Amino acid sequence: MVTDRRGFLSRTLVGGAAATALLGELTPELLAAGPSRGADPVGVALIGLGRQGRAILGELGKYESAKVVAVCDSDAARLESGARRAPGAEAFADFRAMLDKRKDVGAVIVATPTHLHKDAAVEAAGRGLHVYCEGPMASTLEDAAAIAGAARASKTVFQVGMEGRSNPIYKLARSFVKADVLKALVSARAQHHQKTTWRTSADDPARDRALNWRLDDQVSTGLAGELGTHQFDVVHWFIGDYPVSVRGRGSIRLHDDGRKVADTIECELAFKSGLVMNYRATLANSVEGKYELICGSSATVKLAWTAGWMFKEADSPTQGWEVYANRQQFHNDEGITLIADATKLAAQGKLKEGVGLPNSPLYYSLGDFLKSVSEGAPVACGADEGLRAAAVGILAHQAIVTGQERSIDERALRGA
Amino acid sequence: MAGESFAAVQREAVVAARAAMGTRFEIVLPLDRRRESRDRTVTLAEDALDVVEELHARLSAHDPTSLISFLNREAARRSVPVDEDLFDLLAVCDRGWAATGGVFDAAWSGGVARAWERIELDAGRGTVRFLDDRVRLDLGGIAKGHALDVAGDVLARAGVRSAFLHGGTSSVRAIGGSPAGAPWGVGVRRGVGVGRIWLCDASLSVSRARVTRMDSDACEVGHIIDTRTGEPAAVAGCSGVVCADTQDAGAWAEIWSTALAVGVAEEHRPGPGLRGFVEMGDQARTFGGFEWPSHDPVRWEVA
Repeated sequence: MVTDRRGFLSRTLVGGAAATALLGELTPELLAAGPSRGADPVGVALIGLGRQGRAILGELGKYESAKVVAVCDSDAARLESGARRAPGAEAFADFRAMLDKRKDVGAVIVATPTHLHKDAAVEAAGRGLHVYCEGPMASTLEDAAAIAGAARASKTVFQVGMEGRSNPIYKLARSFVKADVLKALVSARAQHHQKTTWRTSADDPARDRALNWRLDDQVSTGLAGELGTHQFDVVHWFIGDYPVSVRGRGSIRLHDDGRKVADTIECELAFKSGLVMNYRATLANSVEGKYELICGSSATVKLAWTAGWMFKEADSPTQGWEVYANRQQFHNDEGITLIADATKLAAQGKLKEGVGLPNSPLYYSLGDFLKSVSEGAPVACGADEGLRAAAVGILAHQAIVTGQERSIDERALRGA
Repeated sequence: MAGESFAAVQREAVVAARAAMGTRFEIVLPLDRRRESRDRTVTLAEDALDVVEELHARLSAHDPTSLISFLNREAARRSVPVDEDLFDLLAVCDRGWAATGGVFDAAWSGGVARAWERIELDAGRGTVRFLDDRVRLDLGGIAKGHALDVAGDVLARAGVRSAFLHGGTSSVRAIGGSPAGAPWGVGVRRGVGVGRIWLCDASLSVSRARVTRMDSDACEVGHIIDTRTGEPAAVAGCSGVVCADTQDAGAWAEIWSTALAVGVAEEHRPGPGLRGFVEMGDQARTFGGFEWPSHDPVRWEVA
């Protein structure tokens, strides 16, 4: 159990040694997701059949090491349509009844609305089941602390779905950061731009409130919590540090439909070192999509979830592997494309075919979970890390809603 | 839009669009001021487009993270279980292959003909397996029609009685008729000018087997593969197929328009419920009782 910031920072830097030891090369071993073939499939129960739940079913179906035996959703329509995506799985409207009946469940995936994670995650962990909890882990510091406490008490695997930590391109990029290729950290920036409403239609007020929980200012942590948490965590993981304060603002720029949750936000997270991370998210524009940018005095990495690039400064020394690197022009900047298994592909003359991930980030995150369950591999993002990520997102949202700067201290990062 | 300015249309309808499947999907949802607010109509349109986007993520053979791309990597090695929705779509592809005499083929294998015969669908186990490691699935000949089927069903279940959906302008679905009471009108480029097809509770697919010159070999090839030969179709056919509103209407309209644009043997013809036209060089014919209209009940029209 981590009790102080220095303690968990040192653990963060030492962890993932296999990923950081290989500079400039993402080998098939790192790219391979999930347990080795031949392992008995683990019985999986999925709670929550909204859009993310259905995406999870699609990715889980690619793994021979997992078999979805039960699905659960309290919404009848979603349960019916979601069950079609899980052949052979038994459908339940209540997760406790599901876990009471299905003794073949070894792992539970919690994909309910964020504010409902606690009950399912704590129940599953308390029953000694492995748990994959979608991120952000919780919508309140209290819930995050409760979930983390249940995870610590359990001897089973507990992974939070911070997908960046399982992403092969992100692992490769992080190895450059850990090898000091970027040199002095200058700034960090991230954005999530996607033109969408976040609203779905419903035929009665109760269902409308349940399905549109992200627009409910009583339970939602808005764009900062729901989207930003994942991207804040990428920066935390890369630089091994957490912000000490956050301020921000939000407004309705397009979706003036009576909602109180801002459709456009901007916030600034300050680190003790003086580094500042700027974050923007909007539901009103899609230009440049979703990415994180970590700028150093010698190089910059830009990470866009299914692709990544490194931009070298003119006075940055050239690494040997860069000779055959694939490059892409972005206006005045030339980016070195971060490609999995680049050496092998270059030898085959197929370097361009390796651009982009062959599987979704969710696929790799679930693969790491299954590997932890089946082979005891280190957990990609444990509950304590998930708690810290959630805390930053929650406090960023509070700063935006109140217009007041929020302090992020060690108590907050423990959920206190 | 002919007969009505676009600004006027926007006052009377919600027009929402999304990029997916390599093209642009658009939904026109007339406002019913007696019942619904504009916000709710926007939400309905976005719900339908969300479904299209989700289908793109699942079905696109050009997206390496899709389920189809996963099958293309794995199914030659093992029988891969797939969910009911995907299996049902592959079953439609199988029926389409049989109905068109193999001209419609949702698989290809690098120049080898009749690739679909190398796909094994096991309904009992719900699995897909490739019998040849050169085989690949490509649902480009059915995906847009299927997407409109699913998206339109989302709207219909929500009580929508009038809507116009299209994917890349070549795949169309009309729910009900236009607010004016007339069918929805679609302008179709023909060998001789533009014709109009009027739709009410029906799907339309138009296919044109383009012949383009390839600079490297200086030979003419088309963009539709003739699965009888495994090579690009060498004929410049154009077809349009209308399918009355039944299950998988959009998918079947697309299956037949693709097949007819390449050329189908006499013993394989579209069945009841399907009507349309085929133009091959200077030969033109219609089937299923299709007629080019001689007058225009114009009020709402999407060109």
